[in-house]
Amino acid sequence: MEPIIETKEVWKVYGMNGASVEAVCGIDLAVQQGEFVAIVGPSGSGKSSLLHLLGAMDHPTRGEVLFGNQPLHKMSDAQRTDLRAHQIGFIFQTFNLLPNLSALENVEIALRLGGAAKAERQARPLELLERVGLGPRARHLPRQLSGGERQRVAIARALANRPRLLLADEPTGNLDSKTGASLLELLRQINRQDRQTVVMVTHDFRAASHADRVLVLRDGRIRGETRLQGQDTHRALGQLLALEL
Amino acid sequence: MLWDLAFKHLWQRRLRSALTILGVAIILQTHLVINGFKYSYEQDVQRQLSAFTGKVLVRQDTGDTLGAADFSLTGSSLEEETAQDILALPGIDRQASSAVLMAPLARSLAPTIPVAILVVGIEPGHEAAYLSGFQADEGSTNLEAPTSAILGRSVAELLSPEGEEQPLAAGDNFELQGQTFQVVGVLETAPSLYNNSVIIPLEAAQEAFERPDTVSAVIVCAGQVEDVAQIQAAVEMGFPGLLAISAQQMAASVDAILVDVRNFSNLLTTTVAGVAVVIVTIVVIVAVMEQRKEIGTLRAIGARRWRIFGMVAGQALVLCLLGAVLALPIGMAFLKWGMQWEKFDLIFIYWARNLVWAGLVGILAALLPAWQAVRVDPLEALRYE
Repeated sequence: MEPIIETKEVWKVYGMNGASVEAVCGIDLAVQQGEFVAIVGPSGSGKSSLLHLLGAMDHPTRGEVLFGNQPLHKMSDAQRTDLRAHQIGFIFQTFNLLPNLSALENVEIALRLGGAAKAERQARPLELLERVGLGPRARHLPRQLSGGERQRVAIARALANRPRLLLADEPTGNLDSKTGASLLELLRQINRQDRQTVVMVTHDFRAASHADRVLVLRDGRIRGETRLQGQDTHRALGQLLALEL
Repeated sequence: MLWDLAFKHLWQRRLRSALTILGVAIILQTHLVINGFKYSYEQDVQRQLSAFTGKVLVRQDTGDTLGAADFSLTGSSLEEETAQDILALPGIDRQASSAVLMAPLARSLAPTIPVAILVVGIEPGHEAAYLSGFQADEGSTNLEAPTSAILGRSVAELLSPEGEEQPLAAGDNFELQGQTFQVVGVLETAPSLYNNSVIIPLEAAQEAFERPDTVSAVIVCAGQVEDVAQIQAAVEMGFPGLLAISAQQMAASVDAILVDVRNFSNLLTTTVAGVAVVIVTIVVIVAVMEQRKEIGTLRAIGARRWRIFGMVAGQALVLCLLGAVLALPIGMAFLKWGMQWEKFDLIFIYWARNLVWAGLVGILAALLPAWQAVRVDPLEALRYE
């Protein structure tokens, strides 16, 4: 089966004060339709840089990123923007909701950017907010919502255009453990029910244990990989810790 | 378009938006008032000019740069005897011609603006030479008695005794240069030269201003239009040192002055528009800096650059257009209570143009901040975390 997204010997090198920093070093990765992949690693391991490359927000220094077999580096800025609007959903660590828009409007704006018809723009936002458990809070502004609620709105926004790929950058990083766990459960549920492909980066092994496949990243390189499908959390965590050691 | 986001951002910063709109309104009302005055001045001069159609104005050649456009003629002086010789030339409609003495009672603020109060001495029975068809709203236009006077509309108000709210009317008396005159008529609203005139018999004017046997000019009305050139030639041949100016020559001279007035007013309005552009640019640049993270997020979730451009341009346009709307009542209030101006039909014409101006100002003011906004890298914005 053709992967949704694939990297081939991809590198990202930043120039900093005359020195170069290798954030991503020759990573090969392929994510299949319906997979839930977690990329786990400590701060500075290059996981966010890799996510930005997967999300068509950054260019690799070397190598290539293919989305549905299309090389991203050959796309124009407008084509990559359209790809982000239609095919990729983003969930950010700090939610990145538009502060002057209600929860409903935050979801609707993604539909607008994706070129959805008016009828869909009117119906789907509430439908999505109800799905993430925020129907009654749809008219609230982000500042009137808790952290967990804001991240649920961000998930609804990310799903608005039925993207082929959902990218989550430390989605539980700003949440307490209980809220974080329920959010991961929601992501897992979406992945299973809709066969929604999810790539999540996190530094938290407990969060990564919700994924089907976990890649451990350190110093810009994949140091290990394991499949957790069908395992309970306890056993999965043990397996991951062994990988880290 | 993301105009709703633009409006919401402005609404979120209500005080700043309101102050910017007020600033733009104050600037644009200046534009409105300058243009209104320019239009009004041009209309006034043109009406004044049309009153001299078919006439020849004979005046002293003073080498004055204003030349033929100086309707008040206060800088000219010639012997009354010479004036009478001119009036005796063939081809002249004597009834509609007269020697005139003009003396300013209150000076104007600038050379091209009519004097505030102009005393005009005219030969009784020849009032039409100066009045050129303008009628009295009340009373008559005949200077029968040696102390009779016809007043312009504005002068009737200016000369009313202190504490009196009513302007002078036919039958009222007033003091001028120590002499008492009786109002025989008040003119209908006319160009400012007439509105500001006190018209009295020539002899009374010579006595009041101690200029015996002297006049300022001769207003000559040709019996036939084709006689105008002939009269001009006769004056220039027979009376060296005098200028005989036809209505066409006056028009050419007036046009030259109007070009200067238009250039000056264009300079002012362009400067004013430039100030508005700078103010709105600064405000929108600050707004873009504040919205950097939002813009980055929008770019990350698929907003194309032109949408971001539109959102920022929308903010600048809203500020400018609301400012232009508010400029109307501010401009009207300024004109009505500050300058006792009543020609509001003109204001509406210029206000409509002002809206177009405001749109252009908005677009220009949006260029730099919008360019900054479209260059926001989504990654840079997300790294704000």
